[in-house]
Amino acid sequence: MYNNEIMNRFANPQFVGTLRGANGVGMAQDPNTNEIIKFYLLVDEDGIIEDAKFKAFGSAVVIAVADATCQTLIGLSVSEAEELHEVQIIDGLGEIPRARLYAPILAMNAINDAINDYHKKMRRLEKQRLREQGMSDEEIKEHLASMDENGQFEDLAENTVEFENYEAEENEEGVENNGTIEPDNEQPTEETQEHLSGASILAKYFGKSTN
Amino acid sequence: MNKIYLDNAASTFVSSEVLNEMMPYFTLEYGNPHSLHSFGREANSALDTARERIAKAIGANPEEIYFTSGATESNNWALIGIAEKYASTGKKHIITSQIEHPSVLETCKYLENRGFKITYLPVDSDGLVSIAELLHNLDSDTLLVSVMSANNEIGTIQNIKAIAQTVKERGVLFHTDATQAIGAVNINVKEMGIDMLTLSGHKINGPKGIGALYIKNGVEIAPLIHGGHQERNLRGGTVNVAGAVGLGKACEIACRDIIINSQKLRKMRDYFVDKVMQEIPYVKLNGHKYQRLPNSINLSFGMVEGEALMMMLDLEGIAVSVGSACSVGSPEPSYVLQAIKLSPELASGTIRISISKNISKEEIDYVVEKLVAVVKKLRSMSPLTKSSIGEFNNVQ
Repeated sequence: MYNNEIMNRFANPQFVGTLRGANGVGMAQDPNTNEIIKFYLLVDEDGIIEDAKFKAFGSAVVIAVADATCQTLIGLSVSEAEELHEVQIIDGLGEIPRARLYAPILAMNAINDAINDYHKKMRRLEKQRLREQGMSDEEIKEHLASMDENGQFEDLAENTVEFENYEAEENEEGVENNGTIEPDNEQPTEETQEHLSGASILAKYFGKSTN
Repeated sequence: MNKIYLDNAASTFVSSEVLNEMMPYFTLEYGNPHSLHSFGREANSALDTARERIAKAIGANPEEIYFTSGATESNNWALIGIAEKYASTGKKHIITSQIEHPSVLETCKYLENRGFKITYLPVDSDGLVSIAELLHNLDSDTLLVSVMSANNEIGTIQNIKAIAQTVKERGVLFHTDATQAIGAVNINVKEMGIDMLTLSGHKINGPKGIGALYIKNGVEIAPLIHGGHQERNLRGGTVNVAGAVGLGKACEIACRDIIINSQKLRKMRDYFVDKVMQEIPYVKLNGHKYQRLPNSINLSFGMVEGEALMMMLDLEGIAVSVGSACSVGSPEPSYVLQAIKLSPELASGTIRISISKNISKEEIDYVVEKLVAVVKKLRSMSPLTKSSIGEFNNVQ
């Protein structure tokens, strides 16, 4: 039914799992088949995707596409990942049956969600930093708005995976799916906190000194 | 690697008894049954015997049995043939159920596009059609009601006698697709008030490419396939003699062994289901718990996608189905599972297992062992953790 490449990636996916310290987590669900792909991205201080993992509630093709997508993402910059086309994702997978051509689109949507999550986290960290510097909420709002005008923030999708109280993050909240999805219970490590709140990351992200 | 076939609802092997009965009609008695010479008469005699066997199996008269290429053709013929025959009466309403085989549903859509009104009766969470709902929808324009005897996906057996009686009391014709029910459920068309019945060879250890439509004497029907004068001028085309002989023998065996096969199948089926429920959490059995085909096991696994489950089992040499064979290729969840109001997530995580009468306990143990491993693997890959606990037959 499927070619060897798809079957190999399905039977032995190399990138399945979660990623402690992931700073970009996102998922997407296909409205017709209800399949889900969830990506975990680890973006370094230079904005390069250092590692990527996936979890999938999906058919063989969806799992294979998710696995191939992770391999494609690693080493790309966030902006390069944002420009990815479905064709690039499925390159090397051979022919995908017509009935499953939604799979790379599903992967693209999940990537976009993960990247939006990454941008949101960066924005939140910046807010936190500015608050620590003594700025009022109003000043912070103006400051961030001016950065928006300068194109320093990407458009943020409304349904991005949210972190409540990022500093002391407890659980990831799942995307609504008839109320049947429940959170993964991933706890951030000390290493994660340090990695994500590092001043150097913010400096690189926002292109200025944070001192 | 052991290879275990658990998709008997899709197709079955041809039994040796049936094959032996068919063999002479390939090379020795190969005459056209519609020819007048002795070769033809011998072949025709074989058809008569086959008709008698099929008729006996369902309580019909032999002349009421018409051979077709299979259940799909029989269903098409029953619906279109009646619709065309009686269109001039002004009656253009047909009632069927939401969980019929695609060969009924697609034919109904075809008739809808030609001005017929079709009512698709809903079913309950077990897959049963409600008599009350049927009564509510029967009206003076109703020409035909078609409800399958047993569903091919979830195995639920309908209350056909009650449905037929309700329909007949209002002077409406009743058709049932009994493809999955023959050999599993006792059927007597006269006692039950059935006007037309579909059956197929390859579901009952007979050959593929042959089926039959029972049409009660007195019911008029337009032909679907035009051509020669075969089948009393109602179905053109030389009859597949070897196939018909095989179908006749298969029906005879299925009904001869119905009690012993059903008992054995139920025992193995229930052993299988109990074992799965004990060893794998978050599983739901679909279909009526008791009023279900003895070989049918339709299971939904929480947090796992059905096609992936099916493919992983296939890699282990175990053949099951996602939905029905006739809807393979369509990635959306099964319409039957949607009709019984299964949640979209569970509908997506469903496989159909249909055991054969020859399955052993050792094979069941092996399959369940593999199923445990595969479900565990897929759950470890899934972003879903817990689903609505209330939907499962077991929670561990």
